[in-house]
Amino acid sequence: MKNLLPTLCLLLCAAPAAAADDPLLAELLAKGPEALLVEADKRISNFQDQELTVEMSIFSGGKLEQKAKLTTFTKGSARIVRFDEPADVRGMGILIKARAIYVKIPGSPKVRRVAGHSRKQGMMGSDYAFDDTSMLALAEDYTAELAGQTDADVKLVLTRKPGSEMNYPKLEVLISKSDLVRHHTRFFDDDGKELKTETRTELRKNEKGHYTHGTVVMKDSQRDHHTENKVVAEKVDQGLEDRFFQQKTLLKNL
Amino acid sequence: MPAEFRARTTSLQAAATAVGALAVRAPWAVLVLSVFVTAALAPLAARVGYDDDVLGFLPDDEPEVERFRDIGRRFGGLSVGVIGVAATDGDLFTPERLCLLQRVTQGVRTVEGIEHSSSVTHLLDADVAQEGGEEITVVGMLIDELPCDDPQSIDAAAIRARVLSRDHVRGALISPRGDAALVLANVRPDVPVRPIAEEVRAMVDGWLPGVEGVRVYYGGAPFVGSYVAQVARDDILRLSPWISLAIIVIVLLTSRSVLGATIALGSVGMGIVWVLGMFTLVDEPLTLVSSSLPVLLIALGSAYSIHLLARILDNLDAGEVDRRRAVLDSMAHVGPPVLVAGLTTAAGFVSFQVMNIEPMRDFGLWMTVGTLVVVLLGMLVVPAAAVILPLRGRPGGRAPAWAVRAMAAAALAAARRPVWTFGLTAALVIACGVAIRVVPGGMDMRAFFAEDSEPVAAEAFLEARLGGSVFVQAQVAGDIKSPLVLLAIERLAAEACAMPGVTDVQSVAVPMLIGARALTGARRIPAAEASTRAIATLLDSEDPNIRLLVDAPWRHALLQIKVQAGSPDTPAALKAALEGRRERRLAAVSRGALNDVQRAAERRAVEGHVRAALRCAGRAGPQGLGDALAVRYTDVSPAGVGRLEARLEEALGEEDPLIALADPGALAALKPNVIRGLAARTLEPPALAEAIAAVAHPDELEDREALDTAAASLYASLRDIVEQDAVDRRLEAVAGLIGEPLPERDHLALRRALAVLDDPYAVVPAEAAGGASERADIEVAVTGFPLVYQRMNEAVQRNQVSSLALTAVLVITTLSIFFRSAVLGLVATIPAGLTLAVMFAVMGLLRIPMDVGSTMLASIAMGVGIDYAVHLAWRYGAEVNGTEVNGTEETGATRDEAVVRTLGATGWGIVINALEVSLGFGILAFGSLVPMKAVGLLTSTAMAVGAVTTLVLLPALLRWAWRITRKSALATAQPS
Repeated sequence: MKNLLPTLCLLLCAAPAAAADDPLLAELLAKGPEALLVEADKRISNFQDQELTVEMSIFSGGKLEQKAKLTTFTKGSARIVRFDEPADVRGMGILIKARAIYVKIPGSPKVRRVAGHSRKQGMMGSDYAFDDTSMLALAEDYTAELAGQTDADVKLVLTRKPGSEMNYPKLEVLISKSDLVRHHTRFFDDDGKELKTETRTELRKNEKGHYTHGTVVMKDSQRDHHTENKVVAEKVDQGLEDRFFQQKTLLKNL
Repeated sequence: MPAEFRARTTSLQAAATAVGALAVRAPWAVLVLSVFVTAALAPLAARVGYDDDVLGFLPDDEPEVERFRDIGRRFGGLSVGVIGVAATDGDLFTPERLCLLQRVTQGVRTVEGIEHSSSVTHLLDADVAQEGGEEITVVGMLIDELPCDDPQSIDAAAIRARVLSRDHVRGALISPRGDAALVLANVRPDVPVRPIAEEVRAMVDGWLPGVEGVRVYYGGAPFVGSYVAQVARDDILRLSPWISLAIIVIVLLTSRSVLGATIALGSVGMGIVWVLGMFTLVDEPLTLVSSSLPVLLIALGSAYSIHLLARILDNLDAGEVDRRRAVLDSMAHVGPPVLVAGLTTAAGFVSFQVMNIEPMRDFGLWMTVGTLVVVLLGMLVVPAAAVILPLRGRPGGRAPAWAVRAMAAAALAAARRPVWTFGLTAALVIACGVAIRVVPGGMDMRAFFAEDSEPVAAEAFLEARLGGSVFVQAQVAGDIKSPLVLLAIERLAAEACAMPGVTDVQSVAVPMLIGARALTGARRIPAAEASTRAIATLLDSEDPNIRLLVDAPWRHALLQIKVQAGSPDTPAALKAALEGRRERRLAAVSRGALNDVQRAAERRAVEGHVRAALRCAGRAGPQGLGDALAVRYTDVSPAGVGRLEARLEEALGEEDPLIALADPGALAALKPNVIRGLAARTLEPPALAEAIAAVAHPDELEDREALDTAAASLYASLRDIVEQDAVDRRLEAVAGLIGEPLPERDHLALRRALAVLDDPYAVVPAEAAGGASERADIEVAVTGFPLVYQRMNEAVQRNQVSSLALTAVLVITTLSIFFRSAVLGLVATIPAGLTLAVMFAVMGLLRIPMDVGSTMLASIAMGVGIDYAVHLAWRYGAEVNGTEVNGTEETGATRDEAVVRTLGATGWGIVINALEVSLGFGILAFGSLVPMKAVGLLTSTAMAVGAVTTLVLLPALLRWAWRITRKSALATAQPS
């Protein structure tokens, strides 16, 4: 009995307090699911430009198959992906701009344009298509519908807008009530079959109010295969100019 | 035991008589015990396993097997099943048929034991298209996943055009006319192949009823192996009753005793059940060779019981009414030669222990055991059954008088004309020696199966449309991502393709070319190592088929070489050519630093590559090729100049330029200088950058580094045009030497061979490179099922020669001891030697290949020859020295009388056995497999030759030997 009180106290103190809902949640829900989606988009893409370095690990059958390290420069819809590892692809660059993809491989002083539909294809054997990496903001391409709530999350079903070129006709997302950030996404095909799921964890928030997940796992729902991206470094708002996102940048050793 | 027998026995007779006495004294016990053991072992015999692993037949120290296994493990198996899907109306490109192809490719992968499957429906592809005047790369699958639940939405015509436009696919995975396609299924190493092949077949056949106008062919090692096993099993089931019937009828007709035939064949049948039961007891499966054990035991074992029984019946026919006495007499007189023949045959099989092939050693061991078991059972069951069953005598005997007269006449004629006899024998031996030399060593599948059989039909179809289904693999070890090694692989592939009998070669160079086309726009593997490494790494992550051609660390690559089944010498020729290449170590020397020796070495290598590419395209290499390749171009053709101008316009013109100029009009002045410098190979990237900077827009000069980089990029694309122009002109020169224009496909191969002459470095053999240069070493190892089979047969042949040599020593020694005369030992071995020689000669004449099966036939020839000779020689000695029949002693006969009496006593037994086995096995000629037919034919030959040699030649030899040995030998060995 003598020890019970301190123990209980310790347990109670150590127990995580239930995270409180974000103050904006009620207002956004009142406005409708679209507003919630716009806010969730904003929180993870709240930057003018971003330089994000991730370590990508590809697993097949639970076994690590391949590792890579890449840095993505983003401004608006333009992106440059630079491959840092493995050594054999160091210096390879990909420019994605206005639905066009340009590739430059090391050793070649030429930039090659690749057909736009390649954006829907897998990248380096990972579970990510080129387009998946740009799916930070969804409100532009999808309409949202409230599909339910739990104590922690709001579930939205997103339907692709007519004219959108996004890969997936339907998404199901979970937005955390405490920070209004999307942390779980299910991707479906035209037949309603689940293709893959993305889970984001280790949420961080910088001083500018921008949220980043430290780990993002994309899992193929059809086979035992998944890709884990761990953020190594992130820089935002460095003042990258529009002309940075040109073929010439690929030609330089990034 | 009757006193008169006990008094006159030698040790062998003592042993034989003792066994006979046991059977006579307790016949029911012997029979019941034998039947009980047989009944106990029968269920086990029915469960005997089968191991179809042919690799086990390679010698213990054979590097070929280790190499095959190593390479197989590295690449997920070298056993490639080939499923040919053909449209009967000539067009495979309909939605339903394409869907079937996709379904088969996907479905095969789900079968346990299949590592990977591929077809045109599952190939990564890269194409180049024009979009807004710009060349763009289109990467994707050659055929996107087909929406087979909505076949109307499939644009089959577009798919047809796309697939048939791919050089590396057309003729390899799809027939040039688009009426047939291949699905390749790689079977994992170290798994039983037959059930996998059967499962795949059942699955695919199950889908066929839903698709009209399609026929499926199954080829490649797994399906052929499965077919062989299935057909052999069916043949045995179909023919066994007829063989048994034929044997029973012959024994009945010759012995004229139903009970006698039952006893003789029953004891052999028991022996077979015992031995097969023992296999299961010790958990040993039958193998390719030991599965012939039942057949061998029938052929060899029935002789023992027939000789014993023939003597028993002779005694009864001669008036003996007491079956016990008849049996004991038979055991005393025929038992010793049966024992000796059995022991000598067993000794022959013991000689297999010198072989370095484990399954052959096991086979020898089991045949030793099997021979001893059937001898033992013959000596126990035949006497016991003869005592119990009511065997009756037949006045006048069983052997037809005319037959005995004919045998005696032939034998005496041979004996009385020694010069003719030995002359003819010598001629026969020489003729056999000549015929043996033409016994084929290799294995042509078409010689293996009947013309109308499924594998031959499948192979004929696959060869006509898709180059066949037989694969040889060449492994290249080295740093596969290195451009030097990739060039070496391209050259090896061209060399392999140029060889007669080769129909297609796939290597990692093909996907690398596709990747290079996609990422650099050029139709060649880049010269820059950074580029090849990047392309390789991307391919590795994107192309699921890549693992069939290169291992995960890219340290080993595989050339998949398709060869015609009708070219049995091609695999060995490939091995010699590819492994024998001198260029094991390659070096890259800067082109500017090349000396004459290095330049000549490079030209020789390029010339070899070009000639191989031409031969691959079915053209002879022209004269003067070396000189044409030596030309260095220092100008650009008008077409090239046009392309250079267009590129400069595109990069520096007004519309979305790579580098904007301050005054667009400055381009007109810049172009001639740049083109002149490029053509003369004097303009370098910094000079171009300076020239452009001088007229560039001020904004471009703000970031000079970016301008320099863009200028370097422009320089590279301009250099590409200059180099392509040089390649075009060299191609024209080659076409001029040939005297006709080359088709597009040949162009591409030649273009790749020629392109290296304009690379910044030259690839030369390392020994010509001198000191500081980039180097790459390669090792080439050629393997594959055809080579493994070939090595297996070579190893079996080698082993057979050593084993037969030891057998000869063991047999002659055993018989010399038995006859107490080296001369008689030698003479008694001659029928076996002649039988072997004639059998191999027949193989040569009929082009039956020497393989594992010939071991079985050699065993039959040897066993039969020994058995007949021992019986005849034994009896001859008895007749010459005087013997006793039914307790009545007779004086020694003259040699002619001895011959006649010997043939009367044992000749008919030999004839019965020879007729029984040769006619019985002759039925195998109605089998479906050529080797099975060969077994039937050759067994019949061996039995007939063994019998004729023994009955005609051996008496003459014995008369001659007798003169030398006098009475020293048989005199002491015989009961006299």
